[in-house]
Amino acid sequence: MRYAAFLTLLSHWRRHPVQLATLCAGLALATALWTAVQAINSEAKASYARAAAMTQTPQYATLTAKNGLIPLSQYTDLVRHGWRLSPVLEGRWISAAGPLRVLGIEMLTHPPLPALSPADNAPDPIGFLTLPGQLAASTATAAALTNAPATSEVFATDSLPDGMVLTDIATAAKLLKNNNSISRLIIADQQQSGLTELSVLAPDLILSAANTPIGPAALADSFHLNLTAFALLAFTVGLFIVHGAIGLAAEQRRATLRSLRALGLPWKEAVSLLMAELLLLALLSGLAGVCLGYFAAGALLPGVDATLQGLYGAAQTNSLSIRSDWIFSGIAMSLFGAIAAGSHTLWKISRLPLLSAPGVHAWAEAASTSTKKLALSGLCLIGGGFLALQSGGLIAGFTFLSGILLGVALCLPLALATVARAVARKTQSPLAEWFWSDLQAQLPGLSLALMALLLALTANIGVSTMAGSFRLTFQTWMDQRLSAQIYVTVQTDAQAGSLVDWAADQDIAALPLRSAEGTYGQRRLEIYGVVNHPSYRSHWPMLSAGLEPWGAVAAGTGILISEQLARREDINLGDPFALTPSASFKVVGIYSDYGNPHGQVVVSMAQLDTLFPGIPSRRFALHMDKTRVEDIINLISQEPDFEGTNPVNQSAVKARALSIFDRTFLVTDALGILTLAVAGFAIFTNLLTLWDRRLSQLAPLLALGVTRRHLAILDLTRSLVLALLTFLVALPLGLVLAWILLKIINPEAFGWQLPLHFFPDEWLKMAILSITAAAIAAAIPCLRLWYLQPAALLGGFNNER
Amino acid sequence: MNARIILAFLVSVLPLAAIGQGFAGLGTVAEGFENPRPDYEITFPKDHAAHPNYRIEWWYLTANLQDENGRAFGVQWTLFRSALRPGQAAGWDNPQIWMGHAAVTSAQMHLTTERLERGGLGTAGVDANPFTAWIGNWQMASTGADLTPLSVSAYGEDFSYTLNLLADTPYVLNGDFGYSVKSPDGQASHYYSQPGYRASGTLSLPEGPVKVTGSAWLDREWSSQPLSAEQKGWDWFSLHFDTGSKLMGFRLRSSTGEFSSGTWINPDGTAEPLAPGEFIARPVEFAEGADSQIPVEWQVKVPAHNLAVTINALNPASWMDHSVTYWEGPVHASGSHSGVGYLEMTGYR
Repeated sequence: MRYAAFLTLLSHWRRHPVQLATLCAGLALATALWTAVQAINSEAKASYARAAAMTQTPQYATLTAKNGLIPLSQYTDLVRHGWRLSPVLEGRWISAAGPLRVLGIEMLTHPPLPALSPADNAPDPIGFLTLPGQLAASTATAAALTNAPATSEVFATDSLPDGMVLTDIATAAKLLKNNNSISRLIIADQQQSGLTELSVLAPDLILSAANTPIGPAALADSFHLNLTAFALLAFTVGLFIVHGAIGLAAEQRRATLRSLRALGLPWKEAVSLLMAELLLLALLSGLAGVCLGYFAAGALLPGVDATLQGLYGAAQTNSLSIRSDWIFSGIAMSLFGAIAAGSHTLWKISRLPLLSAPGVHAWAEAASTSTKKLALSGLCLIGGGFLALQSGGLIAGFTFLSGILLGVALCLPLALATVARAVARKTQSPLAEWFWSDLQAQLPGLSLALMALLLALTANIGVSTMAGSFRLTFQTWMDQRLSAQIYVTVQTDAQAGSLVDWAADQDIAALPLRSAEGTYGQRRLEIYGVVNHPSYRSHWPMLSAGLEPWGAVAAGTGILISEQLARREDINLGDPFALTPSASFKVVGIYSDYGNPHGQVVVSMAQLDTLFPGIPSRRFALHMDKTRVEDIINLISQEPDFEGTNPVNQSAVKARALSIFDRTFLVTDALGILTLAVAGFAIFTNLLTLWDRRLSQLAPLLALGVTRRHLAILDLTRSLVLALLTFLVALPLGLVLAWILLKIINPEAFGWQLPLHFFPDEWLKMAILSITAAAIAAAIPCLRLWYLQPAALLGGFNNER
Repeated sequence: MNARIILAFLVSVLPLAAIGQGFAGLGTVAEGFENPRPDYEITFPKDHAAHPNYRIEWWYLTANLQDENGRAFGVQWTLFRSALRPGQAAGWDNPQIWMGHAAVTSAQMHLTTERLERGGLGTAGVDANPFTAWIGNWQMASTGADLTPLSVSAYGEDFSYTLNLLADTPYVLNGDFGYSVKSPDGQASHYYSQPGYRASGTLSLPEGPVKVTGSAWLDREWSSQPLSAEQKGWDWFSLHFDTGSKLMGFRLRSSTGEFSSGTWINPDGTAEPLAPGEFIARPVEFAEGADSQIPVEWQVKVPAHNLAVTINALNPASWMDHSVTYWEGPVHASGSHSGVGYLEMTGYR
């Protein structure tokens, strides 16, 4: 009996292959997107782990400083107290071949590394330890470095990840221009007994026990979090498809179920059979999804790679390996998704009276009450989101975000129904009235697909607005901060002097750029000195400032502080700021300093020289007429006095920064479009599943004299109207999403806020995309209607159940 | 002390295919470094300090000690300096590398440790006045510019010691007024010793603290290429005889033969250099098992001073197995003279 019943239930799919395809494709697509992102994340993690195994020694305990840098003198002090330590200096180096991560180790005391093992193509130790030193790098990185002019010899090894160089700490100190501090101290595992505790000798340093995993940079972490969030969103969208397909199949199989029940099949068994069927389908679709995901990940990986390398210097790889973690996670998500999407339907089936008559209206009736319930739970979610926001913090921001997004999505069907009802009431023509009533009647069947579309559109609008605002702000900010046309770095005091004299002869303002490093609130602080020059007054990007801030700075009484510092230390305009115990200034301006993890202040050059004497002038900003830039760069390059100086055209710096920036959003853009495609597919499958019942609804109109073509156009219009209405809800929701990202999540995560900019052309693009998606989705049903034989339509009367 | 270990331990610390140029790269050509000269006049206290323009240098102390029950101990304290290139500089640019070796040896145990530090940072170095040689928290320090009195300390994972040294004998200039020739090809070093320290102090051992007294010997030596390319290792002896006489002798082994030399020190502290070949040392018994190459009993003769003694290692397993591997341990002498001393053997492993 059970076997026969199972075959009977399965036979439904033979009669409705499109429905089967929809269900499987929905699950497969959802799984594919999820798997793709998981595969990318997993590959990245594996590559971080590989890099870590090559370059880190987690089996040793380490000491780090809260501000990231340990003074060299503190290291010496600890060694003189008997501790056996190995210093490590790490940092980002802008090489001629692009930005690279430099790992500088003290070779004599550092634990063994694969790249320096005798089996590898190890360097000549004397050459490695003697300046200008040698750089070890992966074959690809070594090739890039060899082609670019570099001062140190480079040798290739298979034991290092791409994008980094391993070198002696002396060479690293030169490359990173950091001779006075180190990044961390590795504590040897054999120490003499009875040493004074490190917590006593260096209470300001952080002791990490051995085997503490060292993750990738926080920024790379947040990028992966972004990808995962996107994948979850895509998965949710996919589930809407599955939910719709399962619901319809169940509804259509109610007659079959009734017969099976009448033949003596217990409900419990019927439900378990349906469940088994669902799991079987989920497993098959999941496998297909994992395969699809593998290819999607393969296509996306180079973009992710470029982003992580360019922006974060994190190690990545160009090849994708098959790993059990993302395969299992994909299949598990598919099973979980099928259960989540199907359990509600199964539960409903088990509750329906045995002999209740099936039909579209009954389904719609039930759905209409559930529309209200949905909206109510949506409102609860929105309310919950606002409540969570009160508690503050990153988690609250994300909770608020998901509450608003899901809440509004759940309210969408009711909102659309209300609009349709209102418009129907206003219309005069019978056909128009029918159109709006019909639209309202079709909503329950389409609402899930529309919710999916709403989420996809919202995500796209939100992320593109955020990325656009980010880019615009960043660009403006760079225009302001890099206001000089040429930046020159000189090697010696003599060169500095001749450059200033030479610039004066050329009628060019050469403004020195000098900075010192300090601490504030135990964190690293960058202190910049500026000369009194009109270019600062007219260009410097202030967020808030008192009257004549530059006058106060020039007079030596005022200080400008960066936004990050102001937020972190809760400093306001007008507050006193103690730069050193004896030097206090009044905060006269707060300026934006995007992307800098460290606090920064600006004082007059005279104050900088008084407080931190002996800082040499090595960098100069040259202000001139734009037309002279090329000539001046040529002149500086040819002047023998300026040999070794490195004049940089400001516009080249900007272009480079923007290109790195744009690459970051390439991947999220691709994922956004994919999500939108999934939502379009959801609409398509919903329309297809509605097709059967649609004929019996259209037949009376045909009988009343409306042509098939007219009906087809009305059908298409309905889809477009729904898509447009959904877009109209998605637009403000997307802006809210962007606002949350820029104003709540970003300050919490990175310490700086960004202004929200609007991009109406992007909205237009999204509107067109959503309408196109709906049009493509509706095209096949419309075409079928267009060419349908009238007899088939009229036959609908016969088939009316 | 004569040709000792160079700090070309880089060769063994850092992966590099066997250099094939004598023990620990001592036979490699030294470009840009100063070379020892016969006319160089050693002066004190100036030459107690470091000579950064020479490639290698050491402050090498060995002590033969006894506890209250007459149990024999040996103690080693060595600071090696090795330059990657000549000269000094502050910070990471400094080309000097420092290595410390310390050991405590008895008939039953041989505890050793090593420290490595870069120059220029203050983690290791030698100051002239007051004289202080240090690496990490180990040090050999005087109260003034002279090398007496000295306080010496070193700390390992499972042992440590502090010793106080006092000497009233003159410094011994080995070879030709401190110019010590190491091969027929003319390789040489600047080399002087203070063999006359009286030592007292405490050894902190796994079994507990042990109070000790005895005698100690300090060697100061610097060079840039002390071995010829063919020389593969050496055997070096420093012996305190009960008569008050002392003997330093070495034998450099090469593929073409051997080169030996030394210094005889009379009880009054006056020294007589031994001509090449005057110092004769022959291995007579070897260690058992895996170390069957290493001689642990020697016949040592200096016919000019009527010396013929048998030298036995206190502990045949006195290996210093760190960045550079060599054998260094206390010995005792019997025969025409009796006494104690130290033996160093390199190039066997």
